Amino acid sequence: MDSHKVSVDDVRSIAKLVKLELTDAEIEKFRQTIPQTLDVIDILKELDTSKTLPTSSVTGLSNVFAGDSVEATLSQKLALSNAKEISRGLFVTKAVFDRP
Amino acid sequence: MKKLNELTLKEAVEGLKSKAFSSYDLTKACLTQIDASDCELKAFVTVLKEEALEQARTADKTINDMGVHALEQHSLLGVPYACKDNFSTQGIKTTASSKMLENYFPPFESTVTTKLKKAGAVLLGKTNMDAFAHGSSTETSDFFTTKNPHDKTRSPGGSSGGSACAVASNMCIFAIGSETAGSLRGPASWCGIVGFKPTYGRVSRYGLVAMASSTDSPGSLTKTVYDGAYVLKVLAGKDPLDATTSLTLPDDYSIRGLESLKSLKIGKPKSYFKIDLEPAVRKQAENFTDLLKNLGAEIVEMNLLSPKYSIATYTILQRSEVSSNLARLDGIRYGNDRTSFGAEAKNRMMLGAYTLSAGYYDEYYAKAQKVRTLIVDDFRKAFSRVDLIVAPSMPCTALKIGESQKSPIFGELMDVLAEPSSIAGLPAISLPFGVDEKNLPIGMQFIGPQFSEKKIIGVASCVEELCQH
Repeated sequence: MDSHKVSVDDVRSIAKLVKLELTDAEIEKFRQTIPQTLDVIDILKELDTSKTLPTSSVTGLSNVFAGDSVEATLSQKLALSNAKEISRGLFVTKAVFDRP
Repeated sequence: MKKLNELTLKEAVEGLKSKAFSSYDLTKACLTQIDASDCELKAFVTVLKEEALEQARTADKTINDMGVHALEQHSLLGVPYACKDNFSTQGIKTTASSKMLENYFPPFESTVTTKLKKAGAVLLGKTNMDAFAHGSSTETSDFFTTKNPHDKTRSPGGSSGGSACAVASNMCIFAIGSETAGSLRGPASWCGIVGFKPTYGRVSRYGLVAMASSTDSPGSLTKTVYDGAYVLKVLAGKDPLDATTSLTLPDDYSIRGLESLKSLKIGKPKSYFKIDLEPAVRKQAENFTDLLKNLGAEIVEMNLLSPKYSIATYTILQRSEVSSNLARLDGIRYGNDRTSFGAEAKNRMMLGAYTLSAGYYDEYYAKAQKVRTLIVDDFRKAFSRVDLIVAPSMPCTALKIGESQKSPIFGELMDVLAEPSSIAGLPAISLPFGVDEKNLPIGMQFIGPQFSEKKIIGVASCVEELCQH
């Protein structure tokens, strides 16, 4: 079985993708455990899937649409009820641009 | 004589109908048991004492006003239950046992709890689980570890461990859980109760905190097969709020068990027995197939893809879906910020992001989706030859608390016998069948084709009846 290598930089760039801030200890842990897991899943290479189509859903359903009608939805008050920070009836988000 | 909290769902409904006791008495008995046991077992994250008693009083009033018809119209009227803490309950804290959602009060109600509410069930509280359902031992809960009622140094299994523990220790009449791959069957097996995972799409996922959306299936943990069927009757059906729910109408699940298993063919997959099973589990599995034979079934030894491929497929699919589902938790609209994720959630998101990332997508995610097709086809072929498949539910009996820390894919390894059928979206039931030398329960499962719940119930009830007499 292949032995996978994952570098500290690899771990950092994956963490960036899932917006996680990792400690050095966590980075080291993932550097070891990700290859361990990849070694286990390498077993799939034994199976020939060159002529197999992927399955993303087992229901056989496709193009399921909601009815074209207006439904009751959450009130603004309820929708905001779990937000840590609100301002004038809106969620406060992190800034996208820095102010000059 | 049984205490009220020890009653099965069937006995509870009959007692309420005949006014042998009130919902208040029944609910009070469960709350008393929670008071007595839960400080040690730790099955509940939230107990709703006053709310439950109030609901019970209302149920009693309806029963008094309408008589027995009340229970015909509302099939769970006045019956106290426990619900896994990943079902959104409006205005009631829903944490998924995570620090991330420790103070989250959903502004809406899940379809499952809405249906239970309409059927009149009394919600006793929300139960502990592996955080975000990531695990098979309830040890990854960000709050505390639930204990197995049969041996408090052991895990109840997971991720629906709190619900299974609550049923097995008679803190409720029945409980709701969810399974992505093994999270109902596993804890049912380790706690010695019945765990029923319906076909994917049979029960709505609306309002269920998402783990792996393509396999998440709500289901029940009950004291008997009949009770599981009774709950499924309430939960099953198309939901406009979940596009993956099936248009196929639910069958009538309230059937009697089959009298014999004559003319039934039951598959025994060789590959499931080749994996590393604990000797006591293996022995009971053989005894179980002998029992099925004695009941008239034809046991068909068959080849199915090895479950070891399902471990790999499931690991990739589930972690990929987890990394995508948990991306929505930004701490802006609800929940804490992303520094509050526990170790297991981070573990899964990291691998999921890796298997989905450019350069690795084809090698891992796309490959797993293709193997999923092989697994689905494999079962389809199998079910053209047999009615149901039988196997142990778990490779071993309840492990000591702490064992789950020994592998980064502990959950996947424990759920090996549930993963193939979950990946294919199939229904399955785990029922208790004997104990090992340490007196720990062993569970056996029946797996059926999509929407074969009625057949599964008929066969499982027949076996259960025989085991009880």
